[in-house]
Amino acid sequence: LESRDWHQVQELAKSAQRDGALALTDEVRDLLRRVAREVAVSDGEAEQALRFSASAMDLAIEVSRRIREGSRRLSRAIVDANRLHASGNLLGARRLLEELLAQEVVPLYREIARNEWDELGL
Amino acid sequence: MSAWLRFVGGYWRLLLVVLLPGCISTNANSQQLMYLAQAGVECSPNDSTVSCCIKQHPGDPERCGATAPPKPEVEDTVRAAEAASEPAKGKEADPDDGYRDHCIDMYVLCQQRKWSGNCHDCLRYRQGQKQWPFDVCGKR
Repeated sequence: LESRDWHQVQELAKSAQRDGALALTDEVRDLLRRVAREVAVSDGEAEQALRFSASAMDLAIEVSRRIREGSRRLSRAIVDANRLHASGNLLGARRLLEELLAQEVVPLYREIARNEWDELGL
Repeated sequence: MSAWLRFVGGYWRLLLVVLLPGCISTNANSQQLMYLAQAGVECSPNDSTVSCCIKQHPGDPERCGATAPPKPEVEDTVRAAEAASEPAKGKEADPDDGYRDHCIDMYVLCQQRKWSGNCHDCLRYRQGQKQWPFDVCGKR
């Protein structure tokens, strides 16, 4: 679990913030390039950021923020939607997930929210 | 069986409320657990769910109609709780209100939705990092 890409970027962002710098190796570039795409940062924006250590650090922090905030937003929405659904409020449950979908940009989180929306509609 | 019971997963939720200190604090003792279980009650006046009953009476689950889980599952969950990592520290740590219930609810959903990945591992990650690793446990 600890070796996966998203976790690595989050750890990278933490250590960069702590140290005030990011060592921009080829491996780090590849990791950031890969994960940036997965959280909907455009390739152009990512390549621009990966030219310098300081901007790459900002990119790592932004990618980490999207992962963290999206995860919390999604888990709250899913749990709250299931509670509403269990109490008979299907419309309210679906609305919660629709509100999340209106603001979430990370494709994985959007896919999970859509699956949950479908699940609650059954 | 009601929809709510299906959601909370019956005894899984009870088991985690009682045995999962990492969802509250990795250093919490049993007295703190009991206190927090009671202090954390968020039941509406008409809430007659098993979940609410368990939170109000954490030391008496049978009063709520809950049954004890099989021993191997208890042992698994205890091991998971013992292996829980320390909470994340540093600039990225920020408030995570209600995370005790979230730990439990997300674990139960992970099991019930049959998400890919190991729900126990994802629960431990959730405890340490205060975020659910949807890239590991989220898709089917």
